[in-house]
Amino acid sequence: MRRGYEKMERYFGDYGGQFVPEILMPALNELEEAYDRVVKDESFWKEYRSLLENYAGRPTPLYLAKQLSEKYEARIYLKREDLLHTGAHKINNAIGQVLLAKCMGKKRVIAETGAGQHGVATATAAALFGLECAIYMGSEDMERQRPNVERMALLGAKVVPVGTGSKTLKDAINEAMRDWITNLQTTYYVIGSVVGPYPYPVIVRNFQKVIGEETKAQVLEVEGNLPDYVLACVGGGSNAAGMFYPFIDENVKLIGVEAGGKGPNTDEHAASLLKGKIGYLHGSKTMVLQDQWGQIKVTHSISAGLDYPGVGPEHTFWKETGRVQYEAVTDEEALEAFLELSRLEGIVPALESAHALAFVKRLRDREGKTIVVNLSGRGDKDLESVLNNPYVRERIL
Amino acid sequence: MKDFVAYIPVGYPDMEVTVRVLKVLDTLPVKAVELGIPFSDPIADGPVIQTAHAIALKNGVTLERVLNMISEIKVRYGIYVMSYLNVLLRFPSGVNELVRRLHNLGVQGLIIPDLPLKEMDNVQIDFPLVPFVAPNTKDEEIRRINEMEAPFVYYISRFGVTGTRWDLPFLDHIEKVKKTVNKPLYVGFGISRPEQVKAVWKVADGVIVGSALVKIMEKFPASEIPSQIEKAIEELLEV
Repeated sequence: MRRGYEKMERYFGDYGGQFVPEILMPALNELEEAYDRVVKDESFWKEYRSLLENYAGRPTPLYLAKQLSEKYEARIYLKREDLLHTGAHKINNAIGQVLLAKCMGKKRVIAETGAGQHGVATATAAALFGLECAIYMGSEDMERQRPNVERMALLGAKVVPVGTGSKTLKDAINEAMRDWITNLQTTYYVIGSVVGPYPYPVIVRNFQKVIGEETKAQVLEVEGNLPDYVLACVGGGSNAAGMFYPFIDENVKLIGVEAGGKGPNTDEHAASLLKGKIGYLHGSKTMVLQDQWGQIKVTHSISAGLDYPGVGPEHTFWKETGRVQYEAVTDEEALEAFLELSRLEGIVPALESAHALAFVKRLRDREGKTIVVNLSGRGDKDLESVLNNPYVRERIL
Repeated sequence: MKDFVAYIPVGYPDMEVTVRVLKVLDTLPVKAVELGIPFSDPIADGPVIQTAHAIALKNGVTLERVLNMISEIKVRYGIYVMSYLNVLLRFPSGVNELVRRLHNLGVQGLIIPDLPLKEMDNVQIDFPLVPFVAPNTKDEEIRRINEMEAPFVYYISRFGVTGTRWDLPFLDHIEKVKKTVNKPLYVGFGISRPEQVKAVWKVADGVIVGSALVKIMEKFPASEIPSQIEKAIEELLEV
């Protein structure tokens, strides 16, 4: 018809794009240009890598979990992102983007957060670079991840409660986008996952792919070959994208594990790739949990970080092409894995990461295989909600 | 006087009030009405319209019900449907069927707040779309609008989401855009006072008023809403 634009390289296959209000387009263009510039700037990457190493604590270990391996008759390695500063992989991206914001001359950064890990990571990076910081967080999430709310405040960030909609991550993103639309000139929006309009899914994945690159080198060193399986949990999908991306062209089975909540066949879960349909959410064409009228569903997961009705468009692409297998585990399976890792290995995982761990048990041909599980974060933030959970109380108290 | 366009969120506070408001608007010098379809995640809207969306959804308003309503009301002004992209593309019987029905109902265009110029080619909606121009939209983008078949151009007169405000910046830019585009230029976002209407009419072809009307729906009991809307529009038009 009337429109004179050619399709640009802003898509993963058919997914992604920039479905945002016109007023955001100049800001996305500015971001794309700035990122293109720093990609070629060796001094940027030198500073970024130095901060990851000396400030955040990279490289993270790849740990052979002996007890777990024995129990499941496989060689199970954990990629210890939980040992990073601030306790999760989110810091890889937050440092990268806040450094980028600084290079762009922005004075203020904002972010959304679900579990609070991305909020804490962004507040940390903002403190480090001396930028003003506001974090949007659903009021339900503030309730269940209280320690992280307190950490953000301590770091000097303003935590803005979001009480609209489902009061979780989805609504926090809506509100952060509204802030950004209003304060474009001064403000950089640090998106915490591989979601949102282009170029965010690319930028976030590129700042997270260090996870997969390290894993690849580490596993080759100890095993002499690549693993049979690599597992990671998927909410928006940043730790999984960062872990999988360097393995995409290798002969390695990749499994993304979504939050099955009370069961993927109930109405209470957050398994967007398993149960969603193609839709448009937060600027991106991707798989979305929605009703028959295209209204976005309220999701459920015990893990605030996975409680999101959309998913990064690159995951939708990987699912469609069959490159990555996506599965879901329930709240109870995740809790069981949470307890098991604590007891068997002395590692308390984040509830998000516990989802990836839980799938090991369901992996039918695991015997004798080499399996890497991305332990994306630590579980300190979850203690309160885990200990109040009836399933857990029954077992340990 | 120039054109006046009203934004009405369908189903807020309920469907019956919407129908009565639409009838009252027909007695006023209103050029067109944008019917707002509720969406669960309206990222371009401020608190006033967000609440309207949430309540309309609770009232069970669907695109299907809005189409039925349009077929039942008889009005002289032009009708535009404003909806976020997902609701249109997920229309249960398909977007082509939706387009066919919009066409048969005489709807003049679709206004999609989360569809920027750059993505218009990447969605298959064979119906006139209203392009947005913002104060920061590049000149070359604005010129490309001239190659499109659009009923009018929607100028977003502020940085921010929908809502009311006192001042009216960007008049110079609006004037410049008016000289660039070969279609009617309507200005919306933040317009709530007669002086703003007057100022916009000097440089553009019309104003779009939304949140100021929705605030009235929020403030008054259902029975008074149509007469209060009438009064508010008469005041805005007193120029």
